[in-house]
Amino acid sequence: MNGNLFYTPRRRSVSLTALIDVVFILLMFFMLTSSFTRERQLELASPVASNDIPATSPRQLVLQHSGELTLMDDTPIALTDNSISTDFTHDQPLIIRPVADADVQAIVSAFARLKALGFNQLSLGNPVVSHAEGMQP
Amino acid sequence: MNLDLQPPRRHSGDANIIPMINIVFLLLVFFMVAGQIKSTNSTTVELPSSPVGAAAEEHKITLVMDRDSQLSLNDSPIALESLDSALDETLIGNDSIALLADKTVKAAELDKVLAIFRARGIAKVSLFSDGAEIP
Repeated sequence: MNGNLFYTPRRRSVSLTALIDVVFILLMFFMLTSSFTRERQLELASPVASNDIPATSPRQLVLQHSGELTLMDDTPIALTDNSISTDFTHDQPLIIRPVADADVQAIVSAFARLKALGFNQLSLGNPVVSHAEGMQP
Repeated sequence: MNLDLQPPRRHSGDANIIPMINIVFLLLVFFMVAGQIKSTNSTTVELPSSPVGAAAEEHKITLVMDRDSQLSLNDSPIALESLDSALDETLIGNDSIALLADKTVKAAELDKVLAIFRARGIAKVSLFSDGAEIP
């Protein structure tokens, strides 16, 4: 009598423990290495010598330490959500000149606000020597 | 007469962890799809926040300026005085430069670097920021 006739193959179950181990390791890897910050870049058109003559003359704005923008004679400029309080046109190049102790966050924020108002020809100029420093002998 | 009406339970241990595996798989897929794997900077640089600006692109030349105004050009530390000569070797043609400056760096320190760029006639400098809203 053949013994194989009475052999019923049983399905061997695969243990899920090994699977979950690998999946946990993969999960840890992706959790630790993934970055969700989307970096952006802001073009700083640095004013270099060029033969291109702009159609309109650029205006200079001073970025104060507080983040406020003023004209060169310290007249403040009111920036609201959709307007600027001076007679600037949108195609006019603007040179932002920060005071020496303004930080990069203030510069980037000023660029962001002016771009939101439609000014696209922005460049970063030399820092302005403050009046207190300028009056020193 | 004692009748065992309970159905036979097989592999009860594995059956209990199947919902957990489902959740772990979902988390794994989320991190794989939504996250980006990128190299971390060796220096600690906290980029400024800005909601505007184009999506960051790859640049051949990356200059990092940390909160102490220490510079590193393409992941190797460099002094400000030797930046000009180092750009001689790395700058080819009309490349643009990615500038990753910490948000607390002062404008006077930033201008020292930009003055070198201006002197070399480099007009295309991309200041990097992260895409979060302005606090």
